[in-house]
Amino acid sequence: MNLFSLVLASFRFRKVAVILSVLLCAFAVTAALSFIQISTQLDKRLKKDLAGVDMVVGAKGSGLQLVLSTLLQADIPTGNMPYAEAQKLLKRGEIKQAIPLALGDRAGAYRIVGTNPDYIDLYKGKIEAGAVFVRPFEAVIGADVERLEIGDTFQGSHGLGETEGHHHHEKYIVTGRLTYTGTVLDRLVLTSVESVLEIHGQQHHDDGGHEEDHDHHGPPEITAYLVKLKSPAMRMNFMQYINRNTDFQAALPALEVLRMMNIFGLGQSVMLGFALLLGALVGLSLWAGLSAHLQGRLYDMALLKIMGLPSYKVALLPLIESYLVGFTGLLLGFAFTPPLLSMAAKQISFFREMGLGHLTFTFEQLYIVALVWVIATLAALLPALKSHKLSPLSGEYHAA
Amino acid sequence: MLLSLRDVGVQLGGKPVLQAVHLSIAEKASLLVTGPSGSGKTTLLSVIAGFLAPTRGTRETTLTLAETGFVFQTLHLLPYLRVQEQLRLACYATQKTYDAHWADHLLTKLELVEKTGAYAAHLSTGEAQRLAIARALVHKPQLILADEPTAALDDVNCEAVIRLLQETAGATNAALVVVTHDARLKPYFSSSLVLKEGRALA
Ligand SMILES: Nc1ncnc2c1ncn2[C@@H]1O[C@H](COP(=O)(O)OP(=O)(O)OP(=O)(O)O)[C@@H](O)[C@H]1O
Ligand SMILES: [Mg+2]
Repeated sequence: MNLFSLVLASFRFRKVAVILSVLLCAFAVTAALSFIQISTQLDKRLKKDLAGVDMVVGAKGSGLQLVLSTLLQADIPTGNMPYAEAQKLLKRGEIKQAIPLALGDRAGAYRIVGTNPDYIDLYKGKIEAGAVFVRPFEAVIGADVERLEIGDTFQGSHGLGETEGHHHHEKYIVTGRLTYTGTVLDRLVLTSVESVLEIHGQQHHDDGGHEEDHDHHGPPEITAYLVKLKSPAMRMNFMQYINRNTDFQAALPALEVLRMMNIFGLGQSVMLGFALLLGALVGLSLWAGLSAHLQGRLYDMALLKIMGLPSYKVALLPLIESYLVGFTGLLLGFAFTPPLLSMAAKQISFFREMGLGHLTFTFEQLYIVALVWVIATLAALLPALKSHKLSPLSGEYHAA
Repeated sequence: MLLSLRDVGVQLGGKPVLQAVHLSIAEKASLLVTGPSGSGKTTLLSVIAGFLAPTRGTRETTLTLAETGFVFQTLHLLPYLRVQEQLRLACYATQKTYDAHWADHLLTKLELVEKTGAYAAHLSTGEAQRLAIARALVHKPQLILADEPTAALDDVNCEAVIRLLQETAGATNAALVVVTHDARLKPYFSSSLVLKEGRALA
């Protein structure tokens, strides 16, 4: 018999209450960990996906929609631009680099992006196996693209929404696979602009009726360009130039994303407030589970003391109990979070696309560990101090 | 001399509970303390044990709490420990090694062998009282203090308990102080102290 087995024996006697306290703590920790994971990962992902692009040029419409559809591959594009006119605009001196994006088709769950190899370099992607696309209908797949291997052929289907559009007749062949980049690239199928233009420019359908909203017969069109300027200082002027003097739209990714955050009320102070709320939830759940119980342990502590147990050992009793409950809850919280996130990723496509399906280590997680440690210590401190004052010679026990 | 109280007085809640008590306990002494309810018996025993400080007078002893075995009037067993675990806890708290033979001997004498694995919470009042006695003796203390150890026991168990207390004291060279208002115990003791309203009469 020692302090540890004594505590375990007391847990054994009131299993249900202890399990509830531990679970309460575990769920609070899970909520906090998930929040940290989502907010830090989202932040990281946004920074990575937006990096290196000063401006997106596309069809007129919502600037936010243009940015979301082209940089994050979420939402549908604002429309298309005539390829020839776009080419003219690109001759302007402000532009250092313009990466073309031809969107509109997908292969199963993955978007097909007609582009050039600069797009891969933009996200620091490398060819892991095989070779980059060269001829029309050669395709390179991102690291997270499943069910396709090098050498496989597949047909693209039209439309970016959730429901399947019609299938194109042309067959793509997979020529290469990319390394994991932790960016939007991982879930894309990349091919040359020409492949996409060719499909949309020449294709004729027997069952044309319900496809009339998509113009497959006009001049070649392209969705957008990711533009790098010679100097970022030119951003404002060049954006205004495009928006006023052309039929196109220019949008600044950083500005649009900031606008989006504000639309969702996800400003910094809101996020901080939410983090504090979750922290309070962890603290309160642990405190509630511990303090009521530990108060009841004063009797045991007094008894052990008059049986002759040294004071410091008596004072350790609530601490052991507190840490056992707190850290078991913490460990369970860490154990519950990854399956929860991967479940969420299976159900919610946004989670999947943002790479939120797993738990990665972040510095912020240490705050939760520290919080559990502090609360567990504080909850134990009160009875420990009381037991210290409760001298065998004070008569307090006699009075009890 | 194991322990001596000189002119001890105790006030509880502003009221004198013990007054001018002189008492010496020699090694291997055996003493019965009697008196009506509320006369201060439990208070005196707590002062002797050392967990109640006298308001006046002095207590002199070389004994520590760990060398004292106390049978509480209200038992104070831990409900979530099994019978044997209570005994192991007593040895842990007093920093004595658990002597399994000795523990078995006590449990046998107190007819608790079949209850070794039972939780204290599930014992009958009499069983709980006998367990409290076993717990007070398991670490072989030099001073055994028993507060109403036979209150919940029938005549057969009463005799067994008082004999065990005396035998144990004899076998371990311990002094024994029993507090009671149980008249059945009188014949077993040669010396006794009577308390009345906090004063020692004889
Ligand atoms: N903490 C306390 N505060 C105030 N008065 C107390 C306290 N503890 C005991 N007393 C009083 O002191 C007196 C003696 O109490 P004690 O418990 O010593 O009596 P006792 O002789 O053991 O009685 P019993 O035979 O009923 O156990 C009683 O009148 C009791 O009410
Ligand atoms: Mg009493």
